[in-house]
Amino acid sequence: MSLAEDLLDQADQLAKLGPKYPKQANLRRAVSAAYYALFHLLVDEAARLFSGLIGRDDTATITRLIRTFDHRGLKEVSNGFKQSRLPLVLQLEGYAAPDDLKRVAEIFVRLQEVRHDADYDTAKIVTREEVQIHIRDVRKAFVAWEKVKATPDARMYLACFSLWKTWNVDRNKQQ
Amino acid sequence: MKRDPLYDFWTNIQYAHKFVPPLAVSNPSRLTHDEVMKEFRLTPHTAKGFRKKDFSFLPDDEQDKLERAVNQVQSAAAELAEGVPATPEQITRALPHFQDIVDVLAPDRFADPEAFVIGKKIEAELKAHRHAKLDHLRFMTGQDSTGDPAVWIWAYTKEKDSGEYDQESFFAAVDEIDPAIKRAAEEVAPDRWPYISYRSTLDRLAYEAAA
Repeated sequence: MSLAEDLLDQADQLAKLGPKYPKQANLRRAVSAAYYALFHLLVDEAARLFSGLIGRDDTATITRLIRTFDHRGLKEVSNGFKQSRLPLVLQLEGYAAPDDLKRVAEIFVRLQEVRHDADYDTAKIVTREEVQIHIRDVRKAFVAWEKVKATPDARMYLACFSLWKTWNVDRNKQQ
Repeated sequence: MKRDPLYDFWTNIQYAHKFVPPLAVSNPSRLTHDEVMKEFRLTPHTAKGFRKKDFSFLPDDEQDKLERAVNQVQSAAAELAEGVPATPEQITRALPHFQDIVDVLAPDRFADPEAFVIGKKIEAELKAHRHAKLDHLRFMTGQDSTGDPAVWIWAYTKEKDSGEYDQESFFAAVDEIDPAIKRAAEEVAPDRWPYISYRSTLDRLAYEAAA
């Protein structure tokens, strides 16, 4: 199994611990594992896209590429695709955000925030059923990604992890 | 920075009662009349800053109820001198009207004035569709972890009238409600990212207290 799938399974196992008295630590780690499952699914795909261009798919190259992606950058791209607010240059070339891709993007942004709260906001109580919903949503994102990943739109979504700021220059000027 | 028009009034009402912020609550039960009574403190500033026009988005009956209650509390508060505690008689007189204010503002469900405005509008959108499996909603606004404007929404489901929590029914309830809440949030607050969480009113698990 891939790291992404292992992390999602781990999230599931952590969420089930303590049937009657679930510990906050386990529920919080479950949220974190669910987010990182989706994060790793996407950055691994993005790294492979770029390594394909380079013509080398060895572990060292893939790892080096993965390290260039950051959480905030992925959130910006996902936000843009979720809201169909792609950089003008991409819109003019006919790129769009089909529903499956929007679903992946929306779940990614939501999970990133939930993960941040789970890790840092100890004032919020994390409940088991909330965690179960998040894990289920990440599974939905995996399914949606599988359906859409071979399309040019999805590959452009991955490319945007590195190129968004450059291509989004018109919108940046407006803000 | 421009101050929210509801801010002063909201703050004065909050000061009159130590409300539990909704985000820290995993318990689905709502603020009770007894809790309001126990914590109420009347000062010359209680209910100050009210302007009916700031609540024009509310249904007429709620606007009227709020205005009437505010007038009553303000008249009791006007008798007080700064720094002098209210008498039990003054408190008893103001309390039912303060309870009416709390009923409308529901500060145990709306964490801040903007959450109140957005939340009420979202609830109005949802009301037309009568979602039987939605018990109630709680709202908070602010900036998310990367500084973007956001609205947090906690939706409490009532997947059955009573009985044990079961995951299948909970998931089905969420699937039924979620698209409508998302749509309403996007229409009412398009400039804020909606972070929606679901909790079941049937959840009876014991959770550790928040820090």
